Amino acid sequence: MTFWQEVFYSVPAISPAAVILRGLFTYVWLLAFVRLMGQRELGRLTVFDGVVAITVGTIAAFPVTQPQVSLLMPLLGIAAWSLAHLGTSVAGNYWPAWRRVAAGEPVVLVKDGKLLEENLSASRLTMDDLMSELRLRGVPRLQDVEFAVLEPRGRISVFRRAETQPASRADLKLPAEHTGLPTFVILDGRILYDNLKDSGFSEAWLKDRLRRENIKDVREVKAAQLDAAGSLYVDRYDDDLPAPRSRREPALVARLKRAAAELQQFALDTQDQGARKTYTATARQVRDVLERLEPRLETPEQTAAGWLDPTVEQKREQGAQSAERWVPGDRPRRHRGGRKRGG
Amino acid sequence: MPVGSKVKQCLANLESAQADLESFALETNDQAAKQLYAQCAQQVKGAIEPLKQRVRQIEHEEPQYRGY
Repeated sequence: MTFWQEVFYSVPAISPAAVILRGLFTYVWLLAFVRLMGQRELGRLTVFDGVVAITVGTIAAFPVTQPQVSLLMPLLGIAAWSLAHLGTSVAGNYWPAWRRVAAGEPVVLVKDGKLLEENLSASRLTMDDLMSELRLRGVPRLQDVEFAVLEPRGRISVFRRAETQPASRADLKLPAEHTGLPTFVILDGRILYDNLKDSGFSEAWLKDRLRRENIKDVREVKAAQLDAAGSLYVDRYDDDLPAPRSRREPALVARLKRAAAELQQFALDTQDQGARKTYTATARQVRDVLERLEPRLETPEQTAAGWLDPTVEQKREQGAQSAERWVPGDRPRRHRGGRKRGG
Repeated sequence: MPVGSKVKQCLANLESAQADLESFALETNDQAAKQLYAQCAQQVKGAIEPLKQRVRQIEHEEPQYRGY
């Protein structure tokens, strides 16, 4: 008795290695025939689909658990059941009468708010089953139900009466924008060119949008979803990055800083109590704003080229002032003038 | 009292800062940044209101500085 005989034929005892091989064979075999039977999901099977699935599964389990059963015969049995079931489904496409026999028909359980008791009992459903389903659909009152139908796949569909249906955008005459089916245009840091092409937007457009979100490289993006209206949702790997900000913000902060310093100086220079209060209060407010803006600047980008260095402006100003001061003859006059205006 | 023109210059500076903040708020797509810029613009606006009055007062007291 060779090892392969152990795997394929009926033998009195079987080694663990042969069991594993039998399992792998039946697994692949089942996979092939389930695919052949179609894509229907388990939750959406007709009763008969369920019966076929269980039977085929049981047949597949036998050769693995019972050494005295040969492997070949169950494989044939699985093929026979699967093909028969496939034949039933295909035949249903050609003969509707056969479809009704094989798959069953939808049964109306409630019509115009009235229970159809005969259909209910013929479907072996209790009132509790029906009410439970209605409650799950948010229609607990029978009078609100226009139709309730037991579908061939075992689920109950419920339709509310027109008066109790939620208003749609059309009812309210609200404009509705067609957003289409959103698709991913970037996934795991890579542009999905096929999807981008289908969306009708160009790569340049996408890159521009990313730039506006302060993203320089596609590889920073985990996923970007685009709908037909051109609305782009971007999720990046690093969610903790600071919010994108204007390139002109550092210059603005510098200007605000100067304004705060000037106001402080005005407050010191003035003799007028009311004016001093005004200057101090304004300076404080400006510093408040600065405090809110400045933490956003504490990132590596602060030193990026093209950003105005605040000290440059200050130096330039100082230079201008000292130059002014050193114009001969001019300084005393200006100084006197300043004093006269002051106070 | 500082020179009226200096105060005026400072006021203009702050007004342009407020305008910048408002335009930043419009330009950005980030909701948090938009909100921050808008709030800061409001705060600057509130801060310069008394300063404007002060400038008017200076002009009233010392008409020679009007129109600087």
